[in-house]
Amino acid sequence: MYAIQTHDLTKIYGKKHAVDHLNMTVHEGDIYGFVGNNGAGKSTTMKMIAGLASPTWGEIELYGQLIGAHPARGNAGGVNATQTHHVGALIEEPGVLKAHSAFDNLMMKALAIGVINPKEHCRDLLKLVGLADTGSQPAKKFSLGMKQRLGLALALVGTPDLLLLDEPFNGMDPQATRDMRQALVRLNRERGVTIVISSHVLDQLNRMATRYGVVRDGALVREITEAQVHESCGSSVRIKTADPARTLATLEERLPGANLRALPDQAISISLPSLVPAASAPAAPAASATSSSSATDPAPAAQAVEHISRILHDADQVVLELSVTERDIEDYFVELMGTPAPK
Amino acid sequence: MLGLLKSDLYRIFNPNRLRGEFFGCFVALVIIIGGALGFTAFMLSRASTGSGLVTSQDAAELASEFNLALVHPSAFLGSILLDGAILNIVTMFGVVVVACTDFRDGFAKTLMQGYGRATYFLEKIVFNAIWTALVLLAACLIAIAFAAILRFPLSLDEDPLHLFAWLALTWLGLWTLTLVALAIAVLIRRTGAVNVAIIFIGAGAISGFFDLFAELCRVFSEFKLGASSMYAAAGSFAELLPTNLISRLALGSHVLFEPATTPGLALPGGLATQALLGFCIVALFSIAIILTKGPKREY
Repeated sequence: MYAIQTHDLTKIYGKKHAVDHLNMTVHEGDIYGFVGNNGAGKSTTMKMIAGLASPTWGEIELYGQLIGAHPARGNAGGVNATQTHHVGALIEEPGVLKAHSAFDNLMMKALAIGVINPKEHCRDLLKLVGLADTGSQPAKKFSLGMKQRLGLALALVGTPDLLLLDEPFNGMDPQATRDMRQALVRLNRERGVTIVISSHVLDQLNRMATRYGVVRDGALVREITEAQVHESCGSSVRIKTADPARTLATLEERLPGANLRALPDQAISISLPSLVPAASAPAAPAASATSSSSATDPAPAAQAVEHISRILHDADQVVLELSVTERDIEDYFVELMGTPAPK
Repeated sequence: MLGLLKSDLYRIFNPNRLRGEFFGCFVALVIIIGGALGFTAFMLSRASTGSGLVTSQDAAELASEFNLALVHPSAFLGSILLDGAILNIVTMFGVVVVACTDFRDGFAKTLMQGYGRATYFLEKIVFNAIWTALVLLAACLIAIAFAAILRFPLSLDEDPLHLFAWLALTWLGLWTLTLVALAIAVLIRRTGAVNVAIIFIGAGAISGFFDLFAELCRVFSEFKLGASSMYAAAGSFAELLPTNLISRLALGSHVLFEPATTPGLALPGGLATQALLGFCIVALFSIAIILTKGPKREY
């Protein structure tokens, strides 16, 4: 089942399309990394999913249930009363009552949503986010990081099925960020909580996300899995020969299953991770450099280059360039964020 | 929605360093009512001695008015709590503090995640009714307690049904004012401007304006300059406004049996019907604003 599906979701403020025909799919159990520039529409999308804003057009389905739609199709008031799954959100600034303590803030939400044993639940949450020692200190005296942690705790009240987190690690020190990240991953793995998380700190997302959605100017540029990201960003071998077409055909025949890409400058790129099963199988009787490699060991770059070199030599190809390149995940996403959305 | 009510009750009764809004309201009522009754007691004592800051004539007038108020509990409570718009403003401020804090601190969106925007505002409407009842009860008990402490000869001679009807209408009127306050908070959402508006409305400035307008129409109609129908309309409208009705209720339960004061609008049942009608119309209008405008905003 999908946790979230949006169909042509659009939000217009005046003349600006904050969200523009967004078709987003979050699978149940995903940790969905929502990536985009400032003003790309991430927060607005999350607000609409959380029922805090109404779409101008389009539909939102949560666990198969329609919850937000254009007024002409009904249910445009963001009424979530009929939802069977609980949503917790931390969007933009954490919504906390500054005159009350962290415990009281959590209690108010816990009572509102009908948590059983609210006091115990709230104490556990305070321990989880590292605010157990704040006692009766009012939230207005908290630092930015503490308020953010309280906001996260509020989102976690009632153990939601779906968490929407907009820049949740803002203002947190590295230790707290790591603890929070690990707690979220544990929630996902142990309780199957689906998490949609937006962050500019791609390194943090990279350690958590199982799927990514990249938005630009309100529209979804691409949805990719973690494996695909690593596939695209991982090491690759770059080959340039005098006869690129014949080279490509040879490599396709001799390296079945390898991820080959023809580049604009007539070079060929081969993803190194995809070479693992191919590199471990004997490509030809003479090319046995990597035949002793176990199928489970990643092909070292040097071995892969040697293997490719032998294949090209056997095929009488004149090699003009043969090198290993590494790609930064940040560069990859920055490039994607600059890519116009498909029409 | 029951959960939201539990949450709001937890909040207003939060004993942790008396942060709950009800405690602040209670303290304010003690100070205001205690101050008013204490000053009254002081004036009455000066009336008997005929010396000091007050002339004996003023003191005698005050004593006469106050003795009338002491005849029935509803008259006493009305004169202390309703005559100076004390309860109007205290109850309105209470709901606005809760609502505006929710909007300003963003706590409204924390709660709306679980229930949705429309349910949040529906709960606030119901919560206002509970808040009004609590404040009215507290104010009555405080007034009676101070009357006992200051040894006012308060008579308990009143038909319980009349007293109950008076209390019910007073509660309805105050609840209506809290709905007006919430509607203003939903529309404006700036704490300062909302507070100023509440003081104006709670103190009767709006109804005073319509009273003045109606009076002008009456004067014009007396000089045969037309406006007689406008006087009837304006006058009826002014007499149906909650603050005007509450100031009439300040005289006690006996006013419920007096004829209606709406010019050109005959109402069976007298002032009781007039009060019920006026409160219901304004309450429904305010609820409509809250439930249509509130959920449309983004949080």
